[in-house]
Amino acid sequence: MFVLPLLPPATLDFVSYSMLGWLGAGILPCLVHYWFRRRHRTTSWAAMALLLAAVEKQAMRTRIQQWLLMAVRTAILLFVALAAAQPVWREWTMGLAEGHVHCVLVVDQSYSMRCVREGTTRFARAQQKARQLVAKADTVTIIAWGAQAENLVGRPTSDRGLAESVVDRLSPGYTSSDLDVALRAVSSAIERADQEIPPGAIHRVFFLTDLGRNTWGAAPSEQVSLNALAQRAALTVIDVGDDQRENIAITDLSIDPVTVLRQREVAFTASLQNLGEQPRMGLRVEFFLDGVPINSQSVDLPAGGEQAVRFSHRFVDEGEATIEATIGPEADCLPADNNRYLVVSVRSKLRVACLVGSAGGVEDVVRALSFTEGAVETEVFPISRLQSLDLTAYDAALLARGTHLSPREQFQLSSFVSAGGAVAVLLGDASVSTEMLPVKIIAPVVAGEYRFDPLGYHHPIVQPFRGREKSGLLGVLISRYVRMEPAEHAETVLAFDSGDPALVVARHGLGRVAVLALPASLEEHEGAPWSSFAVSPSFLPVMRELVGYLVGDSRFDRHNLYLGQSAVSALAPLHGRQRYKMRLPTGQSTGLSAPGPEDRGQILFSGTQQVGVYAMHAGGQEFARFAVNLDASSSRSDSMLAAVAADKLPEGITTSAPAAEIQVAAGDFSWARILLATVVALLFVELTLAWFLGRGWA
Amino acid sequence: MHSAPLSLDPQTLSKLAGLQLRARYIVDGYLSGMHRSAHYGQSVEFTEHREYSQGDDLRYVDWKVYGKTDKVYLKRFEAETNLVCYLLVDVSESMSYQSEGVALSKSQYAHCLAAALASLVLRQRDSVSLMTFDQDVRELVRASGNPAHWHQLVEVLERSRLERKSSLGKVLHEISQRLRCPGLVVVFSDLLGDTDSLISGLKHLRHDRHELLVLHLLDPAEVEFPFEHATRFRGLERLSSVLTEPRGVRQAYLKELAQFVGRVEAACRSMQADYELLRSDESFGLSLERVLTKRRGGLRR
Repeated sequence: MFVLPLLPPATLDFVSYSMLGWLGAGILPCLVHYWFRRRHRTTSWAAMALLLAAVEKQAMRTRIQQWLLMAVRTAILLFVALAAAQPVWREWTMGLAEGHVHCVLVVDQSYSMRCVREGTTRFARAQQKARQLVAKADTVTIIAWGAQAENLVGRPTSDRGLAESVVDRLSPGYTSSDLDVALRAVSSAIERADQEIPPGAIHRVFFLTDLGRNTWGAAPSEQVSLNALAQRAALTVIDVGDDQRENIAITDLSIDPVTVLRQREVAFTASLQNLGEQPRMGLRVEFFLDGVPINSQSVDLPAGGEQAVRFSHRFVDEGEATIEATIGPEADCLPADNNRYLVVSVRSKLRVACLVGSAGGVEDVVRALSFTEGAVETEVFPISRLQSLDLTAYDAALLARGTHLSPREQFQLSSFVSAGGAVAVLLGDASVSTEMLPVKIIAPVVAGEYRFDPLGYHHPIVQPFRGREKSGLLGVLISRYVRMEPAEHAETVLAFDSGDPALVVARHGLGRVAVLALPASLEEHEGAPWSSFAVSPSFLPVMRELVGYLVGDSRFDRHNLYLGQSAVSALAPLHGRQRYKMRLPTGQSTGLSAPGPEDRGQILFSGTQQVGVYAMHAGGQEFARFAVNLDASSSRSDSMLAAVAADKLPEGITTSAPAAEIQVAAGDFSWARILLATVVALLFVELTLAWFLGRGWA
Repeated sequence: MHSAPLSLDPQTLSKLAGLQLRARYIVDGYLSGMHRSAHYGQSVEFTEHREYSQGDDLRYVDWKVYGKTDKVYLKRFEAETNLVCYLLVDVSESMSYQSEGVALSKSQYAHCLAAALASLVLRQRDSVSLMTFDQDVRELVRASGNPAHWHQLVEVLERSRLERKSSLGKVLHEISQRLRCPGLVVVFSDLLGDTDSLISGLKHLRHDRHELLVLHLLDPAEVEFPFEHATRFRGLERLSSVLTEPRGVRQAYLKELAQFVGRVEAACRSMQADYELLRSDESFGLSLERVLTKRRGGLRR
């Protein structure tokens, strides 16, 4: 670094010192000149007196012209070398001059960065500030910071155009930002930069954030990471937040029951929460069915309070329907959580195929499901008809004891469940053998005297029995059952008081499978009945809830997602050159890659990055619809907009307001462009001079 | 004006060996395009008859014709001259200069031209004298009208050695003192040297009632200075050398040359001497024609 003894006290620094070696090229014009002179030809000459007189008169002029040309050519080479070395004029900063500055820009993508004030989001302010910093830094690393932190440029880049385009492409997310992952990403970026940029470079880390409390309430481990990082880089927080604290959120929109049948009443419940510090009175909540308003209510929300808004509705038409609950985008500064969407599948009835073996054993189940006022239609088939049966016409299949399945039948059943169907297996002494079962049979029959254990009624199937202990579920006498061990991904709905599972459910593909460890009938084994379950008052509701859960919840969960979850659907047929497409909430469509054989007849879309309704199309025809909502569960107890005060930030970090002019390297002034402009000008001068002198000589 | 039908360019002439052959070629080529002289007068050579008219000099009546034809005719003769032509040929080192692409050096060109001129003069039965010089008179061939005299002149020219400096002014004074009989003095030289001294010498000759024809011979390179790249010019006649960028000094050199030529030409004009600038790549036919056109009166006198 050259310290020039000139006023003002400053240093002339070069970004690339190695390029200064090319200054030696400045001697080239002199060498070329003298080389050409050395390569002169010799000739005898008679009119020497005339020539000498001419040379004497012309000598000074010629010499000046040659020196002038040589000086211009030398200057061109020197300036090119200097420009390549990127000279920077730096003012003193606290007595120390800074060298190469590597900026790490950590852009907060948390949900609260979507907060709008005067038409501009916090995130847009962060982007604007990031662009300013990009223009000042020598090299830049950009880290997108949300629940995960991602280095978007890899190695530090000096390409400002690239860095600015990366900043422009950033968008805020819907989650909180995790400070710990950001610190790890920054540390990794600095380690990488140390290998890429000149030794002695200065690292400056800028967190462009709104100082959300969810993010900056630093844990002790994060403080340790911060301290370590502060040893290697100057850490600065640029607070792009504001004083907006009021936020109303629709935190949930639910439907009961989830199995929606035409002309049957269903209840919708929207949960609202005031996450601000001021009460909101007379807040208007509106509900839309496929864009048509169907209900509107006013609610009062105290500060920090919650309120549920309910209404009932009967669907007239079959098919998929979208319910939207909204308080309008003007309700607060964070409009992203002012809407909630729900996609339901409306059917006229549920169709259940009961597949029985030689022993029968589904009569009681059929009888139980017939008491559903036509909501469930059951048909009984011998298991031998499975291969010729079109299971896609049914919502669920029940397999009774003794239904031994061939490999082809097992594949058929497995495909049915993978595509979204439901299967309930009622075990007996002749167990169903299929790899699809989420359990492992330990003992065929266990004898004794047992009762059901509802496991705290936590599962939706047995939840209706909570507080209704006399409804008969606990009074069922069980003398035999099949001992089974549930798979890891399976849920135990109901157990025996011996601790063994009685009813297990699990996902399989897009559908669900349930296994009951005893027959759903009064069958006997060695002269004694398995259980009194079939005659228990709890049998009918358990069967109804089981079928409803398997069919309804499976479909409901598949079509109502949280942000970031993948949308999966069974394939719809394509004709000709038709393609699968996904219509996004913005109205735009994006192509879906055609599924392969390994996708087992399913198509997947993993880009749910926006809240709203997505629709899968096959050749222009919608075949699946998805509601994607914000998972607001983490913000219910605290406002997403709550911020940490600047003076409460972890140690080792300084703050700056976005309006403040940040000096990346104080007083930096790059001469490179001026030098290059001078080179261009000198090239013109050289050409003109050479032409003019050449003309004069000619 | 007459044009030479044969190609008399130096490129062609340079292929002929020997000055004698070259000079004859030039003369033959030149004369093959000429008519006889239109000047008539007293001479030993009869040309034609014409009828007598009153007042004619009876001395020229051809009495033999009168006796045979009874008609009075007068005899007519070609004009008779007693011209002495002094050929002064510069044999200094600078005359040896020959640039690239030029067939003949200045001295070779001067020798050819001098020999051709001598031949023409002798054919007219005039007398020719030759002097070669550099800083002194090197060789002197006295005037003679004998056609065999030409071979002697050519021999002297052929054996001249171009190795000394020139001092034209001093030599002209010296020659002027030697020449007793006034005649036509033809100077073949590049005239490089002290211009004042040169003019003084020419004046001296003119003062002695000599007719003067200055043939200023220059190489094309000396006239155009066509050099492009850095060149070291090594001076002939032991002058210093100079390394220069020719393009940078071309204008100045040409200006110096023009001044020099202009000054000599003006001096010749002022003393009623003829001056002709000849390039050593110029056709001999054209050169001779230019020279003889200027000096036709003198050569035919």
